[in-house]
Amino acid sequence: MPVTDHHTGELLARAQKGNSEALGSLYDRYYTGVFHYLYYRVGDVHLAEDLASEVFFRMVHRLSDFQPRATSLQAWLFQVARNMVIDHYRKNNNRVNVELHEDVAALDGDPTQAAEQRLTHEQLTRALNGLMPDQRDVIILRFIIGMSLAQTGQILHKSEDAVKGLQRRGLLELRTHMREWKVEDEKLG
Amino acid sequence: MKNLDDALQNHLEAIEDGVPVPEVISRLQAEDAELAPLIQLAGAVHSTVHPQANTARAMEDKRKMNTSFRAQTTTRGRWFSMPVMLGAAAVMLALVIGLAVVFFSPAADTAKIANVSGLVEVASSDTAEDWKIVSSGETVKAGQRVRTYDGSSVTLAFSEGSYSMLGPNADVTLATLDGGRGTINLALVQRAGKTNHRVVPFDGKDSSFVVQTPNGDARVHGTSFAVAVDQVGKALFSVTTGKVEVNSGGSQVFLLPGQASLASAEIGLEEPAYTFSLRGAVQEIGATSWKVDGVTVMVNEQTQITGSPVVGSIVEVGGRILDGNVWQADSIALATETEPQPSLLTYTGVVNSMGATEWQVGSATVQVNSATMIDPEIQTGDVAKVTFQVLEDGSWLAVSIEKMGEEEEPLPTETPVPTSIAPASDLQFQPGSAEMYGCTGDSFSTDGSLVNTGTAAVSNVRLEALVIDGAGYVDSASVSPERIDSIGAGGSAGFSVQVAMNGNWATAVDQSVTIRVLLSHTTNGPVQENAQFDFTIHSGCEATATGTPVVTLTPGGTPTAPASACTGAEPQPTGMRLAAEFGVPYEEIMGWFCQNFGFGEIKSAYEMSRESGVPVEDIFTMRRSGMGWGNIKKLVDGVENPAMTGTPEPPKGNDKDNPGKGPDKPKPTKKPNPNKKP
Repeated sequence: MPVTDHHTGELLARAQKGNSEALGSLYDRYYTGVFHYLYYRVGDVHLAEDLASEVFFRMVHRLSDFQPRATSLQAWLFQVARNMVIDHYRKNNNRVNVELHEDVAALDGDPTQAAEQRLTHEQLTRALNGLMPDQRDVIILRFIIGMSLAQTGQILHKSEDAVKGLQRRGLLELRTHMREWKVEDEKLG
Repeated sequence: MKNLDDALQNHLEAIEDGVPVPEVISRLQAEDAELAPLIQLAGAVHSTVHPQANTARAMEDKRKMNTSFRAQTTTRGRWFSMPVMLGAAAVMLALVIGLAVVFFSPAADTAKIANVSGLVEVASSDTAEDWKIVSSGETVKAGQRVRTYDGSSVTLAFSEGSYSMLGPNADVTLATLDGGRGTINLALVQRAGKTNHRVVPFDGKDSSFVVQTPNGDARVHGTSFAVAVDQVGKALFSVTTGKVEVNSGGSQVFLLPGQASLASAEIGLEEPAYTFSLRGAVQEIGATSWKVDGVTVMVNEQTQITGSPVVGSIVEVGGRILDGNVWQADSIALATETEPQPSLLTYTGVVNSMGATEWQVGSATVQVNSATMIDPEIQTGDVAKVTFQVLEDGSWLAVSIEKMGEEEEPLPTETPVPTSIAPASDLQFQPGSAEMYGCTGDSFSTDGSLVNTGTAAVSNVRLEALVIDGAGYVDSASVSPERIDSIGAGGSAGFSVQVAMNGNWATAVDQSVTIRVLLSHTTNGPVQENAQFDFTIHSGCEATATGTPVVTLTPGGTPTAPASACTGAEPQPTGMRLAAEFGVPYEEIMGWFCQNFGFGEIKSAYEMSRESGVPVEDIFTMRRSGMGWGNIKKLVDGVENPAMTGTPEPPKGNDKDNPGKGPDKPKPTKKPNPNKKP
């Protein structure tokens, strides 16, 4: 789980002074989380990779302006990712892509098992995109990325109480949508 | 009251701590039983095998990122390293003039006349009456006198790169003007008006730059400063960068960046004080104080008031912050812009503390948030220029905090001005502005084009987004692209403005946010105010607007469930009990339940509604927006007029005029529809 700690602060400070190794470490630290967030927002692995690449290029360009006092790097990255998704949908008439891909890396191995797994995160993506925006982001950040209430609140600019509320209502909505997409109780847990 | 949100979070934390989901569920108390499926679902989502990015692609992206990073760190100058602020206009103008000076190469004993606006005249000497109108490109030499009229201005560019800008109704004489290569000896006698000066740092002691007024002189060595002389000769000296020595009547003070001093025949030379500048609407006019855009300033017989402003007028106020945090206005003038301009409130002071949410700058406290543009080099003890806005509760929110006092980069001395570049006015935004209603979410964007209406290509165009109104609601604002290589004659380039709001936006009422896109290119600075694009977002929904969610589900639209799917065939006992307790139909209670509000939440909402008179639907709307119950309670408790949606106040149960009316009931504005999706 990505965390903001003193080590991140040190990496950031070194990167801001031009240390590319530190920048690479920040990339390694946050790439997977950003990618997962983007995947569950756009439903397409390749598009999520493209957007993730753009997020980190923006980080490079804005690195010198970044203010650690104002927000954490993690929060900033996810805010950028969030804005890019919104922009993407605007340019594509709000269309959510949930497509089948034969080359999803996690599905190597048993084809039967792969089909079931793929179905699961396809269903999850579809159901997530039926939620209200804030609920959807809370579910992704809390249960897929694994962020704490505080981290989630920082990204969404909401109090922890507000995140708690969005979390419960989001789960209720998510369950409703997954049932509608005929995801059996067994798969829900 | 048991809070299901808290209870769920407690159980989820147990799972995060490693407790198996079945065990967590087995621990649930009866009143929390409804949480079981949610805990199960959270566990299932968490344990889903998520797709992974292609490792080779990720590594290739990382390599490209590092390459870009290394290229950037070796070429980046500091000029654009901090956010552009309106205050940078003068600095960038300096670059323009600096370039122009070199191009025109005025002789050492003459100054080039540039940027003439309105009516500017020159006389051959202090006493001569041979005034003649001058225009840009002409020169003025030692001994000559220059004056400007209402709404007029001019720039005098000197051979070594320094320049002086004369505002409206200025009257100056070039008493001394000579020098050699890279040096200047200037004595400028200023009788009236306001002048701004940018003086190139001198190479040696052979240079001098003095502005003489009836009540004092300013002597500088590489600085930016201003002098304003009123009708009775009172002079206000103020400094932007560097250090200025002011002499008056045998007294001497040194002004540092952000400071100003007043010199007059009556009171002599005042001690240096930090300054403020306001542009906004007059809200109150009193005998000793005025209120402008939420800021109270003191006025006295020394305050120069021009243009007869009244309440509602847009004025520009300049002044100093005296001991005891007294904001003393030195000048108040009606704003002269033909186009409405945004409020602009700034002041200077020493940074005393830098908290996460509050800074102490001078004797004032300003809030900061993630939208505040903060100079990355600023530290405690530095002098800062704070641009701020006054929030509804009277507190101040910093829009930007800029470190003052650093010398600007040296002006170029040999770079020729390419003559083929189109003037700034050839670039036009189309459309010039955009507006929308922001009830549908917290992220917005709009597109536009930048059109080159000139006959020559424009290169290296830079765009910058600046929050000029409603900064308290903005998390981030950006424009894309930030740089355009070239726009051919008659050509155009698209751009997009993105705005992400913060949590305050969800509860904003009758508020708006405006993002201004400013442009610059090779021939001018980044602040080019005659070509700008404003993107305004209003809170709430337009009456005729049809809100479009940012993201919609494509296959089959949004599914809805029949009421029985959540109410069940049998009456729900808790729903029945709540309906009886609050005297509303059972279907109404279950309608909220079917919109995924818990019974505890429903009870809270009806209790608050009963106590405050606020319709329950308004309370549920607040909850949907993400507000916590604590904040909702604070809000409804603070509502003096309960008719938030125009609903009349509910009759009181103990009203003697309505005997037998029964207990107070909450007043939903309309019955909730169990099939309605929240």
